Amino acid sequence: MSTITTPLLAIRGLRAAYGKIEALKGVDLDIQPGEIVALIGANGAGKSTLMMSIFGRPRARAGHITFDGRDITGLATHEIARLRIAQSPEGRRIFPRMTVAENLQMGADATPGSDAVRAASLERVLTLFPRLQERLTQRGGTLSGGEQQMLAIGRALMSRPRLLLLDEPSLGLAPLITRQIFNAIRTLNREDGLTVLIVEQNANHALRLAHRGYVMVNGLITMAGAGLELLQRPEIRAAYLEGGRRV
Amino acid sequence: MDYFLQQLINGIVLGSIYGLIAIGYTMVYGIVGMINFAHGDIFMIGGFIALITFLILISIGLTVVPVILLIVLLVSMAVTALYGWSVERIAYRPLRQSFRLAPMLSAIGMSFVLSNFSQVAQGARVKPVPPIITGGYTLHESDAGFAVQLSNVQIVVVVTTIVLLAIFTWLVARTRFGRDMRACEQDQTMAALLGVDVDRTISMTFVIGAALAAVAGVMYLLYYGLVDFFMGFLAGIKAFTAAVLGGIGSLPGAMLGGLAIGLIETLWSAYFSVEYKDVAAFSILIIVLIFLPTGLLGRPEVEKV
Repeated sequence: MSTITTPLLAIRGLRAAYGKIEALKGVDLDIQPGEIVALIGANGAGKSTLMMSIFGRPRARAGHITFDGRDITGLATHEIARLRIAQSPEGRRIFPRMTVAENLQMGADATPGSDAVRAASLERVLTLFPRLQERLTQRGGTLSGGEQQMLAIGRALMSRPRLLLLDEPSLGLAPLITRQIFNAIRTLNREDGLTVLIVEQNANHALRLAHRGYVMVNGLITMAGAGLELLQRPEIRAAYLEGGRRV
Repeated sequence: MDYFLQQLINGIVLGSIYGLIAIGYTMVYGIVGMINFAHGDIFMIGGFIALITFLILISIGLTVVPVILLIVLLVSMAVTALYGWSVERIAYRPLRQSFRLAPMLSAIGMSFVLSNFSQVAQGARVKPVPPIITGGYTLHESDAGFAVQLSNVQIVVVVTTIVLLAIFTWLVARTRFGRDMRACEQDQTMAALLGVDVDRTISMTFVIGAALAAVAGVMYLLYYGLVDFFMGFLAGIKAFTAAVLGGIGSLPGAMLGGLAIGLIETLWSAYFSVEYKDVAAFSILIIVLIFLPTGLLGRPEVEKV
């Protein structure tokens, strides 16, 4: 994909740390509008930290994050969320003592919208994940792992995001459900032009889904390229596919 | 039987006041995980604001009791809420990233600040007011000559408590603010990721807790006809006990605990000895906590705020 358009999200020289441990050591990353970008890498490479530091948690020690041309590096977490950047975070973070409907409502609350708009978003989410329809009045904490994952993504979609961040949507899920979720992401990208940044350990799935991919090692981006092209590279195959975990 | 009925009425009235204060403890514990030891003194401030407002209204010649009550209630809630908000901003928020004990120590400090401030500003003597609401009903009169009385002030206390609790429950369960509050209680980071202003939500929690404590202060003034700078201490400890007894973090638990403490104290005073009523209340707390360490309703699956 060409990079003539201004990126929706641009990260430049981002450094972030937890205490004395530096998790991001100068990351550069671009996401163009309408793109699916995959970020792959081993456990502890800093992928989730990067996702969270877009929201200022942890806050950048150096570098800049711009969203739609605006510098958001110093904004409060809730202000960033209100720019319609949504995240389905690591560990799903469903509100366990709220119903599924309330969890979804929390997502809708992130952005202003009329009741009609909210109803339309809800219908869209329930069409993508019909399982949630049956669970609407149930507490979030009582859902299965796959249902919680659907709820986390659904909740993020309720804010009608301009940029959706997905952290390990396939973690711990049965292959069938993983496929459902990946199909849903592809549909949203094709039909609604949704821009997506997806973090995955499952490199095969993620790179097939994405237009472009980045590889992260020890807090640095070590490789970037088109998704399928990355998938062909021998070093990727060796590190993340053949010798690695799941295929 | 008549005697018991009378004590039951008295206990429910006292329990309503404890319950209103206990909600403030349990709400703050739910959202920031600290015991706000200054909350009893916030209740005392509510009583003083009510007293001052009442005296001003009388001195300008207002005599319509319902109007006086409404104004006293609203002014006390508003000003006391401001106190609650300020206490959080000054004493707790700067310490939120600090070690766990820091805000609690700060709370004990705020408790002294508020009670000493009142002592200096208002004097150390007990401040009495003439009965504002008089009259009542005799429910039942036995042959022995004992009459079960339900006074108008008792009706006002219980009805006001019920109405406010209904509004409060609706606020927590049905409004956006209530959702935000519950979200912050369950996962502050996720709430922020969904656009919830966590600091503002915490501030509002203190404001609402203080406003409910102010209502308790007004009710206390109406019921006992006096306030003093030290009344926040014991009432605060009792309400805290009520919150723990009901299950700290649980809203229905706080109300239930308040009623329980009110009834235990009243019944103990009636049948045993007034001197040991506090001992009775705290002993029951210890016994309940031995068998139910999380309190009456404090189980994880209970709706908490």
